[in-house]
Amino acid sequence: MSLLPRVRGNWLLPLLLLTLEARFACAQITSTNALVTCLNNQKPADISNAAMLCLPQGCKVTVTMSTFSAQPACNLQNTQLPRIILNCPGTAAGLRFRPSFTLCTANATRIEVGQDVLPVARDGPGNMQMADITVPAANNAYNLNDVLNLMGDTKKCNSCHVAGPAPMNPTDPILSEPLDAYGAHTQPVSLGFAVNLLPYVIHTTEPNKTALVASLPNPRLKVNFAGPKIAVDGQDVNAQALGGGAGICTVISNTLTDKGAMAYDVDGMSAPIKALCQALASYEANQSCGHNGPAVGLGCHGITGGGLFTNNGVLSSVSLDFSGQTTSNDNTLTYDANKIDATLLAFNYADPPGTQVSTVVLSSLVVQGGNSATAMGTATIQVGTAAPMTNIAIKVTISVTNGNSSIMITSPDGTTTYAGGSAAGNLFLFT
Amino acid sequence: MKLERKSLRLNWLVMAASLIVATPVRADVVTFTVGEADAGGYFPYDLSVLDQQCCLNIVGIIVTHGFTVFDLDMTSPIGQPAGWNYIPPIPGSLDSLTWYDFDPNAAIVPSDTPTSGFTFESQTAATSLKPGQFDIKLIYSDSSVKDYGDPVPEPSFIILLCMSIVFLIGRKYLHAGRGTR
Repeated sequence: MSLLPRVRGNWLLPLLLLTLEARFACAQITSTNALVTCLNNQKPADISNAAMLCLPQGCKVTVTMSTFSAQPACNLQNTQLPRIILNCPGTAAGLRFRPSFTLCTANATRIEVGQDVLPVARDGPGNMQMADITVPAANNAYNLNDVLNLMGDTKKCNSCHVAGPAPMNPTDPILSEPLDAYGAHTQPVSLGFAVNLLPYVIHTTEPNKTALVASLPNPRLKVNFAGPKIAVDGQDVNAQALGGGAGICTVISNTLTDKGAMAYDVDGMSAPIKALCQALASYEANQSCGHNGPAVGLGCHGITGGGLFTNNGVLSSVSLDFSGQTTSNDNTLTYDANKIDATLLAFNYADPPGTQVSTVVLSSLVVQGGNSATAMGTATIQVGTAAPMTNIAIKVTISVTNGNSSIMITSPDGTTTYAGGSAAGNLFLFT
Repeated sequence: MKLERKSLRLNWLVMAASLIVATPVRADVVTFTVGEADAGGYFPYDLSVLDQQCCLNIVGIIVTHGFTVFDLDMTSPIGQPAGWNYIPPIPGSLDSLTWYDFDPNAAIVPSDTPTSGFTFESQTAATSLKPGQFDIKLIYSDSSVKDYGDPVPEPSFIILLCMSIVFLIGRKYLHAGRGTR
């Protein structure tokens, strides 16, 4: 109520409420069920409307020309028509929600969805429920069981994704393993052998990732099984964003103007790819990780790195990759609680026996001064060959100062050290 | 005949010297084999480690340039002997692949038998590797770290041995031919 006297003009208050409502509505979509509910409520006229109305705020965006999917990228009319994969917070800390689109005409009217039901553990079983939603559905009515990949691989998701363990209840969705769009050795089931997907990424907002095709730090990464250059439909893959003057949406728009409205139609099929491209470009600019309309102070940041550390003469090997949406205040970045995308693996060589730290789920992460961080969460701790202890509360402190790096993974009160130490060099990158 | 015997002795000395040069002047030995590339162009690498340093077990092995040389990451198929696990590289921020021994009974102990099974697949051909690119570090049970350098490709040792034998036989044949002339 204290805000009300400051509001000038009657139109500002409804606008404020509408903005808040929009953010609230978006924030609810962390699952396939919530997405289906949104589609039923909003009744989008086409896929571009669905992208405008039913995507959660705060997702990271990957644009890839990968063709290794049932929703593949393609090149038509010398236009890159990529896949757009969103990496969003899931229903709980440590879980991700992954809707994806393609601008390639033949499959551009579908949303593929992946929803984690358990945190991704390295070498763990598949833990992602999948769905395939055609938009608009008949009568714009969406039924959850009609879109989910159920027993028998009803949506054929396991043609590419490795199947996870069978669900306890035969009517539950089956589980699949995520395919990493940045994987240097991703193995789609249908292909039967691995491919390097890294060079297909043409644009990203993931703070800790790079569209390698753009910077080419390592030309060798352009080599794949198909030959010395990455090409899709005979055209070289190049770095390109959706929006902007040289972006994909502009190219589509210009081509439609030059060659007519059916320029991108394939075998009589058409799709609103210009509108979809513009909706997704607008999403990236206004609603993706670090953006929420007029909200100020938001960012999309990360910490990544690792190496060999020493603590009182004992070595630890550490690897971590944290990222997410932040709010800045002075010199402090506070990550959105329970929405942090986190991976941490560590081993303390204390002999005998050593201690492994894995399956880390972070509830909070605060960065001070751009070079030191404190995170709280849980992890699986395994000492030697003893049974792993799950959901153990941990505190992670990281700092990089004067060319030295340190990390400590301890109990929240600091009395028990699981792994960590210090090392020479800037081993952590704060983005 | 005296000259021939002298030459033969010299040849054996040359061969022995060759073998000494081929064997790293280190207490421990790291070798590797590489198989044929699969349909995706990935070569299977397999490292073997022989601990010849008295009293210290090897509990960690680091491939220093796991990403920048071998393109390894979280998705790569990386294998290890029982009781070992690994930490893969993170493209752009953590270059190393680390194998660690979490089971004290699985540590590589000083012996004459190498431990193999440290495997990965990479599109990088072994023939394209330059000196220093396949850099290995070994971690010992006292938390000391040794920079081992490039491991030795196993076939090269055998090829060198064969070449030396062929050289010896050839020289002997040549001397015998001269003797009968």
